[in-house]
Amino acid sequence: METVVQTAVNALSLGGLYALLALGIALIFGIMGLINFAYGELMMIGGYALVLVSGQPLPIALAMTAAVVVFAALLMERIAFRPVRNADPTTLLVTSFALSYLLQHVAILIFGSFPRSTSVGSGLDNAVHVGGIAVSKVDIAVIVVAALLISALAVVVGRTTTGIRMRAAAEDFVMARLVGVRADRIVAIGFAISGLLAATAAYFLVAQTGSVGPTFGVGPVLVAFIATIVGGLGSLPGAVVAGFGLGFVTAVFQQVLPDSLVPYREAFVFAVVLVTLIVRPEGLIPQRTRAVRV
Amino acid sequence: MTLRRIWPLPPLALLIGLTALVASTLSLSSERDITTGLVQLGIVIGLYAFVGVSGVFSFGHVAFVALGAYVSGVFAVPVALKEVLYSGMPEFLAQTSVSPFVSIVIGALVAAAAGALLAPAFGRLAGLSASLATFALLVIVHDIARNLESVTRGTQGLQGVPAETTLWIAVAWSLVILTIAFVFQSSRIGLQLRAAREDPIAAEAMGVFVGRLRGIALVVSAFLVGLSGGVYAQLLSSFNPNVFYLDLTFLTIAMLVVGGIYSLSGAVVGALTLTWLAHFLRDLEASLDRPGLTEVGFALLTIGILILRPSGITGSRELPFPQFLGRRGDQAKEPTSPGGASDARKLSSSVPRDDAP
Repeated sequence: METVVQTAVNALSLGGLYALLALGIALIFGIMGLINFAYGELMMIGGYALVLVSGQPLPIALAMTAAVVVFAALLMERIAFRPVRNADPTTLLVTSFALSYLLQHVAILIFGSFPRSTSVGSGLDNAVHVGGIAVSKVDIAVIVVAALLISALAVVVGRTTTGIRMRAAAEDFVMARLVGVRADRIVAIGFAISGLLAATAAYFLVAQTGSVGPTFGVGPVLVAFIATIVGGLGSLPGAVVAGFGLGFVTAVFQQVLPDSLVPYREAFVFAVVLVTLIVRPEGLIPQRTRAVRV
Repeated sequence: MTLRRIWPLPPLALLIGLTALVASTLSLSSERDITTGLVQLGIVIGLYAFVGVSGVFSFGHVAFVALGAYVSGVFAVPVALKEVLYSGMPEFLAQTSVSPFVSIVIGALVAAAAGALLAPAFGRLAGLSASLATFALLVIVHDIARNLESVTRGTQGLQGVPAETTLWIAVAWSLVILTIAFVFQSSRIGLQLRAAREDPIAAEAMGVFVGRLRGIALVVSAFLVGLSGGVYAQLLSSFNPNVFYLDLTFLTIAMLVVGGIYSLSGAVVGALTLTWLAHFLRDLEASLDRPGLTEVGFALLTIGILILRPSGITGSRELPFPQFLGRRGDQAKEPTSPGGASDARKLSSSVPRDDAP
């Protein structure tokens, strides 16, 4: 019983984190067809910002971090991605690779290549006991915040004018512009939201690991990228479902694999990804508007 | 066989030869830089044979490089050394050792077999799902290389692979790979795939089995990339799983896209450009004593090239056939018109996103 609950909590918390990460990638991918690998470096910037503001009270530290990351996201869009916005998707992709590589090495120049540790998330360190089962505070916080942010995003995208414009741009960018959607503004809003998600994810990752290095964002961004594709090529509900699915599969494999096979957990997870892709090539929740029309 | 039929093979081979000739006059460490670049050129050409020809993007081709490198490496390590370094190795592998050349071919065949295993899936997968499928393979291969310690020595890495790859051997292999890729893209299958790349629905309506042909392209490409893996292994002599993971993935994709993803010339020009660029930056960094200059400069210049030439340096066209070698009318039928294809693409890509990968 205890292990079942523990695994469930792990799965939910890992899945929630993955879902947040995936939303940040899927949002931009939906609007402009860009898989932004530099998203990981937004998280890295968030991580270093947390290290630098660690003396401040928590709410102020979080607000400052969020502001820095959102600013970095907007700057990224303006300087690197706007000039190539109309290019082939592969050009956008390599631009984001190069940007990610650039930011990692700038971070090495500024902070050195060794991870910096911080105590910013230490308030979440200890565990809460619920009916004899220990559940860590980080896990609970991730689950709650992920649920809140995902609902908030669902409301923004589903109900507000900005959200409708965003979905219109995702469906048909040229048509959306023709009926008066301001392309630059919509893309910028997308990047700002994605920055906010990156900052949130960065906080939880720092709380879990306690340190930030130049390659802090590389692992998470790969997970987000995979969840985005498996979920349905930029479909937001798909990204959330795939994020949770990935977290669930990872947590379960960690629990059920025999000891000799646990080191191969990643291989098993990606075998599941591969099979999922073959069974559902259009993703878990395909976007109908993306289907090829003849 | 006229010159026009094998165009752009001669100028590309010339470019590779010139690169090597210049490199052989430089210092030993510079020569090694360029040799590494030429091995990576082989990977980029192999990647082009799938991505460029079929138009389906792939994030995971380095999986086939890793397979080629590890399999050829394990077969090439001398038996005497295996007894010392690889204690837990299965009997059959521990007792076998083949010549470096044969080991490279074995490695490439295993890579091709892995491609063949994945090929049937490409009847269903298209676009980014297909790109991710090869990436999943990369993660799986990497994970196995890291953990299967009895054969790969895990994160300590493979050691004692004979260091056979010299500058000119790298040149020879890249020319072999270039030629195979050219023959493939000019073959019936290659032409059908390139037609399907421009318009999958029209091609299918004309009777092209797109899915099956993509699978064949994957096998050919995995073989070429696997060859490069073996050559790479014999350049490095010792390596760990991280050599064949994300960094190499990003670098080779960047090389292809910077050159121009849909032409063989683009693959060669992109790989050579970035190789020389990195080399000059390293020299500059050493003479100015500014650590970090190489990486930062490399990233900035890559972004700069893409902003100035979003379709790559060659614009995804083949190098033009020079006028003085013959007028257009001499050869009534040119097999393909490399320019036309990318023009059509340009029109459609004025929309920010398409169903293109």
